[in-house]
Amino acid sequence: MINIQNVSKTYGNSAKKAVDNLTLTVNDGEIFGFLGPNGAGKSTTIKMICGILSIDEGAISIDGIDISQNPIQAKKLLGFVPDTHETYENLTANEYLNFVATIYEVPSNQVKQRAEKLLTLFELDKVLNNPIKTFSHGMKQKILVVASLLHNPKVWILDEPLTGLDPQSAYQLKLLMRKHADEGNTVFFSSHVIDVVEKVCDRIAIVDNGSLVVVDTLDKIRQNKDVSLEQVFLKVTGANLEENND
Amino acid sequence: MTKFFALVKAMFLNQQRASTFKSKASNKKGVSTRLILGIVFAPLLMLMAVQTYFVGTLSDATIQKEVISVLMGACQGMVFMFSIPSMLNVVFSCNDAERLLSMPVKPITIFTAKLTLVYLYELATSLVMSLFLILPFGIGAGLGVQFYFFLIVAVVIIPLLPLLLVAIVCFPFAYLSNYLQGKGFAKTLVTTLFFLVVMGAYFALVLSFGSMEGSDQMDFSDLAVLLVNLFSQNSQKISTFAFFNYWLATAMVSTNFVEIILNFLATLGLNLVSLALAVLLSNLLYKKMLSKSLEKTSKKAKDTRFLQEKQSNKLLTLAMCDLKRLLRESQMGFQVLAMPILIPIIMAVLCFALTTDGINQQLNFSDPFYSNLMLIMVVFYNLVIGISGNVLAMYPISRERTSFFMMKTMPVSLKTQLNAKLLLSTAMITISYLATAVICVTVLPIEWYFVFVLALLPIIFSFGSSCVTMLLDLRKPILDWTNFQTSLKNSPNTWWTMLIALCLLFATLIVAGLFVALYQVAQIDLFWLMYVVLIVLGIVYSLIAHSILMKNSKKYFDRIEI
Ligand SMILES: Nc1ncnc2c1ncn2[C@@H]1O[C@H](COP(=O)(O)OP(=O)(O)O)[C@@H](O)[C@H]1O
Ligand SMILES: [Mg+2]
Repeated sequence: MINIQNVSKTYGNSAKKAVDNLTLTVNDGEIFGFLGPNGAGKSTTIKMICGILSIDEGAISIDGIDISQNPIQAKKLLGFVPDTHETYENLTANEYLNFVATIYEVPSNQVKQRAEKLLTLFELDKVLNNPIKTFSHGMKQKILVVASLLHNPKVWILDEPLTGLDPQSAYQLKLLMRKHADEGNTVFFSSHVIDVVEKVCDRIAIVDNGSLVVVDTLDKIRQNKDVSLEQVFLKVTGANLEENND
Repeated sequence: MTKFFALVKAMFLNQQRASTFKSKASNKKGVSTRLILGIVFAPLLMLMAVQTYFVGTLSDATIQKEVISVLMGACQGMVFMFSIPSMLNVVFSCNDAERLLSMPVKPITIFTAKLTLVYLYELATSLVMSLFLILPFGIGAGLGVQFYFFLIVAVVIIPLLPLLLVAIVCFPFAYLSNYLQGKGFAKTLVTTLFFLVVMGAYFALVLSFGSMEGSDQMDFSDLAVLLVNLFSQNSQKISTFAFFNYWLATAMVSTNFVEIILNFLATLGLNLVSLALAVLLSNLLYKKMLSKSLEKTSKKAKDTRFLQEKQSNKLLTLAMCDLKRLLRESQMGFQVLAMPILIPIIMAVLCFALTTDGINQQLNFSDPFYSNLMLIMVVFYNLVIGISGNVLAMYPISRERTSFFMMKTMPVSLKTQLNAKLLLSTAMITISYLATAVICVTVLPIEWYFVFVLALLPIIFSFGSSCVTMLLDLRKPILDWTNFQTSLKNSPNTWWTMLIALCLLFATLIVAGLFVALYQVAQIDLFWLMYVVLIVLGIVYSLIAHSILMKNSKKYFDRIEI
């Protein structure tokens, strides 16, 4: 469970708040989609949840553990896939996964089994002993996904996970997210691609300019079946729909 | 040509701006930092300036050309030393090859633009060195207007030759190392070896040059007189050895108009020929090299099973992971390896030089005064070189670059992470200091047990300094760099580190001075106590530095926004 309480964040000495008084609760067992246009503050929010950025105002807790007060305990519960796909480029995938296993204290009798299963799923077993820097974007992303699941995190957070993946991998990832949520964990991911969110999410939040605009189940957001999520999204984020219509 | 200038400008700005990390507390301290540094380094430069000024007043027209040639040679030596790493990183490492190759620009333009970039950085070195070395000489010797005009020319020309030389030498090497793409460690090793070989050749040249006919009337009291004597006795040698400088120097002091013009033209010609050679080579090889650098070949991995490593403690895992990453990254790995190898090698060269007959007769090593003085000198050397060259401790945060988020997300306390980095830097420097100490006791007439003093003292002090430099890097890390040399090595933290090394040197100098004075005045041999005092001081310094690091690190770490 993730609990975000009145969180605000301003970068450096910028005048604009990147995240503005955001309050959100994500429950166990659900896949939560975090939607918003570019620059809406999705990544900023995610970085605060993971303890990368300090929180200016408000508080965030993971399964009741406050990320600012007790960062180490909270981070042990988290699995995080960043949007930049950057890791330790010069390690081989095999070395990297071993590193993560030690750092996240994965029981040593489970490391091999979990790693092999996930690696085969994403067809990474063939490049296992190559340095990560020789991987393509999608492959880097997949190795990050594998690494983030190695310790079976209570809360799994992914920043734009589906951009850049091939259809097979995207499909596998969606199945994994479903499975992880069904096992009673929390899955939280951001996206600006609407149809993906539409298909896999239990609940959705839409942010714009750092503030929450809508949060609800898909059905309730659409109100009636004729309106697509895309239309809702464009409407609430104030996009100018007229422009391209003539 | 417009493309060329656009490239130079874009690359220059990109590199300059990588260093501006903005935190919430607005940083207006940059100026004062530079001021302090200037004040600290000014005396050193002034000392050189005064010395060359006196050499100037003492030299007559017969040796002016020679002196100027040698002074220019000294400037070129500095440029040469500084530019090898920049050259390898800027021109030959091609980490922006992908972007550059996609542009409608000829490889030769890219090459010359990058060369210009390095040149611009080295121009600063040349300017400072010329101002403090060559200018005072001219003033001292009372040279005419023509000297000052050609001095400006010299500032511009001085970096050219060493740069082109380095570029030409680097080509075959860089071509080779491109075949090692993907084999990170092998590449790092080759780079380091290459650097050492070039440095070795350079030292050999300098030493052979230094073996000028030693004058009989060695007078240590007046360095300027000694230097002037050396110059007049070796004028022939200088004009052949440093002919390239000799031409320009002749243009600077000659009274014959035709001679001035001819010598100036010869200088220009030589530089143009080397430029042409470098460009020709680049035309042949650079394009291939750039595109080759994008192909990171990796061996066909036979083993597709996941191999589980034995889990060890987090501290060790972090340190080992750090080391592996460093060594496989050629930009950093080169710096990480080169320094620890270079420290004992330079020591070995110095030791052998010290034990040659001439000096041996002058210094009586059985006298505790001389033997202890020498030990202290070795400690000083270790402190200055070891601390200011310890890349591992200087940029522990900056080197994380884009994977910095890992430090923030991993469930390991910041203290453990920092201690892992301290462990790595200390372990690395320990190896180097031990090797240096062993070389010293083997070559120099010193008792074997001094190995402990020689190694222990610098290790303790460098541990403390690593804590300080780590805190400095935490305070203002540079995470968006693409070029290690121009972004990190030129950052204020590098200068701060040198300042720390100098302060430590000063502190140990005071302590050592007390005991040396005690011996000289009262013949009391209490040198063992000196080592004890220094070690105790070192331990106190390290403990304080470490506790300050641990106390303040969190504050700075949390401030870093990515
Ligand atoms: N490192 C940074 N420094 C300053 N401003 C930033 C930084 N990262 C993001 N921002 C700003 O914060 C806002 C939110 O960005 P972000 O959270 O990355 O958006 P997105 O929803 O696309 O992930 C944007 O206006 C962006 O310009
Ligand atoms: Mg984003």
